[in-house]
Amino acid sequence: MPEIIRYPNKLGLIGWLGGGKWGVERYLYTLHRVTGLGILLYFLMHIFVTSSRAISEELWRSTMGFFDSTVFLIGEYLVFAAFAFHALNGLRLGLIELGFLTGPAEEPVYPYKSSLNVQRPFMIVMMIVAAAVIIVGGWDFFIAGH
Amino acid sequence: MSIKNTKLWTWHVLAGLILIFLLGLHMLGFHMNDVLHMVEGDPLDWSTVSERAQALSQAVFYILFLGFALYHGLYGLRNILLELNISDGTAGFVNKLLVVAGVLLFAFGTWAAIASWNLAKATV
Amino acid sequence: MSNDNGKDQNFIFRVRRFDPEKDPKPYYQDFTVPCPPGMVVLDGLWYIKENLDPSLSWRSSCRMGVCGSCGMMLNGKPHLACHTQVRELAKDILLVAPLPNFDIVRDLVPDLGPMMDKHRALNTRTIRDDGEEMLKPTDQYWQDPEDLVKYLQFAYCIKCGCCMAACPTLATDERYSGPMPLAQGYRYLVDTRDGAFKDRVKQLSGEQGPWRCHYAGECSAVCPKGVDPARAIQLMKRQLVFDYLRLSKLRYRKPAGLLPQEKRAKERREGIAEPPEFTVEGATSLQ
Repeated sequence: MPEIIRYPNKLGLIGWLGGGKWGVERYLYTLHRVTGLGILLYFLMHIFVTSSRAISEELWRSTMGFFDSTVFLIGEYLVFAAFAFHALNGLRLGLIELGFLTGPAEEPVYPYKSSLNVQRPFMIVMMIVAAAVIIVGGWDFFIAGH
Repeated sequence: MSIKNTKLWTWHVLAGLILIFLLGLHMLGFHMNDVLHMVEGDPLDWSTVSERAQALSQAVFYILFLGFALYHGLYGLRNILLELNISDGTAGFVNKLLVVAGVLLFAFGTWAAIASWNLAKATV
Repeated sequence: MSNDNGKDQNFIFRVRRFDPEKDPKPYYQDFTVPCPPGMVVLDGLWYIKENLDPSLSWRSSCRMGVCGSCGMMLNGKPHLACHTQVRELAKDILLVAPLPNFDIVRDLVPDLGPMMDKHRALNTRTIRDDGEEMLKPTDQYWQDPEDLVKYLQFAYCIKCGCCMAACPTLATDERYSGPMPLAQGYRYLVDTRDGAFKDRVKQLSGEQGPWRCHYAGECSAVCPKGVDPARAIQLMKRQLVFDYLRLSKLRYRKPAGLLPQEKRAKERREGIAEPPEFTVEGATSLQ
C-alpha cells in the first residue's frame, strides 16, 4: 500500500494573530505577548542604564543627558503604556487562570454561554482602567512636566 | 515525572501579581509624579537618586524587584520560544541560556544596587 | 432573516480541494449550489458530490451534531457542517476548507490522528484499584449530583477538533496537548469515581500541559457543544497549583464506592418502567 501523503496545514505564526473574525480575548492575548516582549527588552536595557548610578555622579548625569530627547521620551511613554496594559490585562489573566473568573462548570444550554462571558465585564473594566492610566500618564509625560 | 512546570508557572503568576504592586509603585513614582507628587523634586535628578540610594530599604526593594521581574520576564520569553515548535535539543539550549542570562543579570543588578548604596553613603 | 424568502437561492461554495496523488498544493474550486431556507452546509456538500463532482471528499456520519465527524472551516471559523445553515453564515459565497492545525488527508478530510493520540496519552478513562468490580460491576458507583456537575459539561465533548483548529498555540506548537485532550484530562481529574489524582497531577504538569494555554478563549467560542475547554484548562491549572501549594484536598480523596446498603431503595418506586427484555438470547445480566 502506498504511503498516505498528508499536506501540512498548520497556521504558523499567523495563527497567533487570528484575523478579523475572532473574539477580543484573542487580540488581548496577542497584545499581551507583544507588550511583554517590549517591556522585557526595555527592562534589560534599563538594568544597564540605571546601573550607572553605582559608578559616579558624572556618569549618571551624562547617561541621563543622553536619553533626554523627544525620541526617548516617546519610547519611554510607549513602555509605560505597554506596562499599564500588560499589568491590568495580566491581573485579569491571573484571576482567570487560577479559576476565580471562569465560573464553575455548568450544564451547557443553547445558546451556549462560556467562561468568556463570565470574565468579560471584568475585562471591560480592566481595559477602561488601562486606557485611563495611559491617558493620565500621557498628560504627565508630555504636558505636566514640560 | 515531577511537577516542575506547575512550580515554574505558579511562581510566574505570583511574581506577576507582586510586580503589579512593585512596578506599579515604581511607575507611579517616576512617571506620574507630576500628577501625584509622590517624590519631592525630579525623581531622576542626581540629588534625589543619591538621597534614595542612602536608604538600605531602597537597595532591598530594587533587588527583590529585579529578581521577580527577571523571573517573570524570562519565563514569559521561554513560553514564547518553546511554542515555536523547536526541537527538544534547542528547547534544552533555550532553557539553559535563559537560566544563565537570568543569573548573570541578577548578579549585575544586585551589584549595582549595593554599589550605589555604598557610593551614596560615602558621599554623605 | 432578510434573504429567507422561502425560495431556493444560489450560493457559491468555494471549496478547498487537495488530491495527494495529483495536486502539489491545495486550491479553491467554486460550485454553484441551490439552497432552500434551512439547508445546512453538509447538504450542500452532498449536492455537489451527487450532481457536480463525485470526487469531493469529506468526513461525516450522523448528520445531527452528535458524532463530531464533519468539523470544517466555514467562512474562516470552525463549525460542524451538519448543524450550520448556509444562509446563517453566507450572503452569496461560502468558503469551505478543512480544519487547520491538522494535516490534510484529502479535500476536507483532516488527519485527526495526532489529536486522538494526545487524548489517549492523558489516560482519559476512569482509573481505580478495584479491577474486578470495574470488569464485572455489581452496582453503580455512588456520585452526588453536585459531583456530577463538576465534569458533566466537559463530558459532552464529541472530539470534532474545532477547538484544536481555533487554538493559537497549536498553530505553531505540535507538542501542546490542546484544548480537547486537556478538557478531557480535567474531566477525569475531578471525577469523584477516579482514583488516580496524584498520578494525573504529575502527568498534566508536563511541558505539553495547560501552561501552554494563555486564554485566547477561541476554543470555547467555537465549540459546537458548549463544552468550554478554556474553562476546563483554567480550572485544571487551579487544581494543579492549589495541589502544589497544598491548598487542595483532592489528593486525599478516596474514589467513590458503591452505593451503601442503607441508602439503597428497599422497593422499586412506582412509575418507573421495567427494563426491556435482553436482546441476546439466553442472557440474564448486562455482562
